[in-house]
Amino acid sequence: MGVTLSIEDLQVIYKTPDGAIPAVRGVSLELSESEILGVVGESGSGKSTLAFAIAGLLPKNAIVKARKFIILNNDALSSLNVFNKLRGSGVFMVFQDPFSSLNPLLTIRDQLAEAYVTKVKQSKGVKVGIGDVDDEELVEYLKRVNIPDPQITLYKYPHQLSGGQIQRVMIAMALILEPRILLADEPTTALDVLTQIQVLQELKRLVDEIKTSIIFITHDIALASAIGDRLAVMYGGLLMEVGNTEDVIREPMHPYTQGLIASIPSKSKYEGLLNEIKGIYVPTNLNECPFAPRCLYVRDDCKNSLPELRRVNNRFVRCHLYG
Amino acid sequence: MDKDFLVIEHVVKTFQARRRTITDLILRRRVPLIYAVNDVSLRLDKGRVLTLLGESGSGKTTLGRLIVGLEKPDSGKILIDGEEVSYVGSREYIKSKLRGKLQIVFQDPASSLDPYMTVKDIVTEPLTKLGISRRDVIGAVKNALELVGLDPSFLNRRPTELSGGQRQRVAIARAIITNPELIVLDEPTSALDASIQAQILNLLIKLQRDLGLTYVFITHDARVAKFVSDHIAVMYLGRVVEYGPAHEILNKPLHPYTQALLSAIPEVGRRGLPKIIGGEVPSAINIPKGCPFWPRCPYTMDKCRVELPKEIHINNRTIMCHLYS
Amino acid sequence: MTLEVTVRRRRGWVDVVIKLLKKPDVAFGLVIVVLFYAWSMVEGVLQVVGALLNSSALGWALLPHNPFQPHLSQSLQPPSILHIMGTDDLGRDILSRVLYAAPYDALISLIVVGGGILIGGLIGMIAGFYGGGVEEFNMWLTDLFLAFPALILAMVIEATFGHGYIYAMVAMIVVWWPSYARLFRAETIRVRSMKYIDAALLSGLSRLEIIRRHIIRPALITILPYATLDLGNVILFYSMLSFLGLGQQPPLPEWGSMVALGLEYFPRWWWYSIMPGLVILIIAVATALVGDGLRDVIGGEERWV
Repeated sequence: MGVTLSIEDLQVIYKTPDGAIPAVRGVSLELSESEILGVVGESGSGKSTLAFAIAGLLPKNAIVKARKFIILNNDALSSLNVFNKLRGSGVFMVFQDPFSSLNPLLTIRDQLAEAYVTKVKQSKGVKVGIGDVDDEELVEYLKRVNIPDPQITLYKYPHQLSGGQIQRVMIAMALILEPRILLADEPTTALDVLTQIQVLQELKRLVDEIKTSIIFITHDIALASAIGDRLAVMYGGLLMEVGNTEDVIREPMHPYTQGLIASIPSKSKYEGLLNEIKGIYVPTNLNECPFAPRCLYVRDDCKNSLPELRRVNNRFVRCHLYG
Repeated sequence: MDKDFLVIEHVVKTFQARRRTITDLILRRRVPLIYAVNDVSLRLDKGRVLTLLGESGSGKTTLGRLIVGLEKPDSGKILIDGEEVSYVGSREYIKSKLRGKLQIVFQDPASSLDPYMTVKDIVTEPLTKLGISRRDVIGAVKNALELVGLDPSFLNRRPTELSGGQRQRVAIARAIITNPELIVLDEPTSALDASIQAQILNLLIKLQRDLGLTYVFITHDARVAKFVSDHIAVMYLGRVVEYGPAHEILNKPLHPYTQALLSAIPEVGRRGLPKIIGGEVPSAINIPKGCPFWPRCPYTMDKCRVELPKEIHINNRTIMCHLYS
Repeated sequence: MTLEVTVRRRRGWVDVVIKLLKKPDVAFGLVIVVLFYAWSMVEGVLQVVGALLNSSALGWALLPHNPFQPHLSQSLQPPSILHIMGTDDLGRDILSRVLYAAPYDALISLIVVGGGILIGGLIGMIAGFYGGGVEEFNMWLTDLFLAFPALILAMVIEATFGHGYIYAMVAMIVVWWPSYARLFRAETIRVRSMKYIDAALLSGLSRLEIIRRHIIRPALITILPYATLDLGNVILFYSMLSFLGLGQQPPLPEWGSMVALGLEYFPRWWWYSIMPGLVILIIAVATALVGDGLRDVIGGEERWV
């Protein structure tokens, strides 16, 4: 199984007029072909920043550092300052808001054709004009993501499609581009439940048909566990727990992970209130565990030193409870 | 009257799909209508929680707005404690006995609070027309904030300084400050992180118990519905396709759409994706003839395509489906 | 695709000014604008007090020379240390005349923009909030006035009612309000879709009360950059009117009319037209720079975009 992504100690700091804000504080990950990694975190955890960093889409005031940052089949990127344009570099991204993913002034056809042209140029070195792309081929891609009436939809504009349809068009675009890595940043949060499942099925198709690796970012651990092979729980810019989905769900080790799972509504109010994680995310000192202010098991050493991400049994945990 | 505290009777609400043009006038053409709420009747006892469960386009938000008076029904009645709900834009609204008794909490914590106002101003706004003395107003604000778990330091903050969960708490404080009897909660946790959802849901249930409130809860998430509801009304394209006690609907859904909705919920511990029905929610302008659900229904019969199912009562369930007639 | 990095600290006006000053061109513009209005205020007060006390000499107490006194022996002198901008055909110091005329332009810019905001704002906000027939009527009225070329409309009004400073002011307000009506209506429509307006309606607030509480402030903040830029536009326009003889009448100096008079002597005695023209240009550019800078700093700060 080829490794498609390998990063070590990735850090992202935003320079703002109010000071330097660390968004990602040292994340190390490896991703294999055909693997879906669910990254779970809340607002402020750095999960979206992580995705944008991998995609190379961070704004200019973001400083990115890493000890190692390798994408695709062990071809090292020589310097972190060189980020290829998103399409054609082997990394693709699907965003949370479907309606800002596509150009509202172009038809679906033109935008898919653009992707097609990029792919052809990248893989065969041949330059094709957008007008020369065969519509029938594009229709096939729309069929693969189960878009109804694909011939008609091809010539529609983004505002004429629903959110779920746009997300599926984005996945069709990914099918065309055949990226090694797909980053999905809360792609279904804005969608209805049934539509959500449809979009997730299409994501799985990418994995099955093209062996793409997917990083699926969400705040809903149940959703991540339904689709992910592995889970990575993030808090305060750091990984708190990483492991196989079955293991993490069956036996969550980190208090935050436990809290996330326990707070999912699964019973009626007459059986008791939900287990909540108290408080909200607040930034902490660099030598303190970021979850300490909200942790049920907080001890003195949690406030004095930042635990390391250590291998314990079948996963990695960052918590003083485990050594 | 505790029984049938909320009565919705054959309510219909339509919207124009587009603005009327001169061409319409010349050709004497009618502007196509969206039947957002298409003949809905429901009842709810005082102190209970009714959940409107459905996806976008189901009409649940419109029905919620109708209940508090933010929209005016085309036909049908909505009564609360025997009093007919008055439209906020009408002249009678200011005299209505229900003013202040009905409140709403919206889904988006951002656009529900004026970013230029302080928390104090936002929460006291509902009291401006109730003729309350200044001293009582200050007391009421502090009390409301305390009830939602915000300390007085929040009074002078602006919404842009608050997290999503804190904004929702402010929105809830604004809703309870007039001592309402019924609150419509339109997907109050859908825009919040999962870790904050539990906090807000717990808060809402605690408030409901402590203050004796009646809730109409709107959501598309069956997990949330399971926690908060006493009764569930499943909505699709402006109609209630199934209605009954919460635990019954959730354990034994009868309508095919309800079954599809419930199976689509991601469950922790269940790997893999459920098998679900295909198709899209059709646009509310071209509602199919017959049962609105037939294009997506796995059990469609010939009858479904032409005849709208009648409401049938089975035990304490109401259902609109030819499978059960 | 932008990421939201929320910094939850409130921005005050001081921060805005500091941010403005950080950009060199905006800082330059700001200095010019502040100097212009500050000077106009001082000079204007002197002129008014002087008129009230019947001692018009107060009006040029701070000026290098008497702007009205002709010195034919000094006529058409080029710029020098004694006369920094040179003298006109009657030997009057051009700089003094420019400085004397400043308050007129300053005042008219403020009144016309202020009047435009007041009238246009009222019409626009009511149109935007009430909708329906009211909106249609208001916008029809707005379009009607917008359809006329501004200069022609102003000239027609002055031809009908008389010309001079006050008439020019009124004519210009009539020409200016429609743009603001459009801007206020657009902002009103945006705010109207916010859920907090629903909450206010539910509380029983009247539509006018809601406009006052929720719409006026964001609308004013949104149009502030445009209004600042507009100050310069008004001055330019008024100079045009004076150039055509429709502004304040001689012997009162006015920048535009000075440019007009100086044309006769152009290009040999170039300073007569160029100097006042330069002043007009610099002030107009300065307001544009500040307005632009404001738009970059303010745009979308407190909004939910």
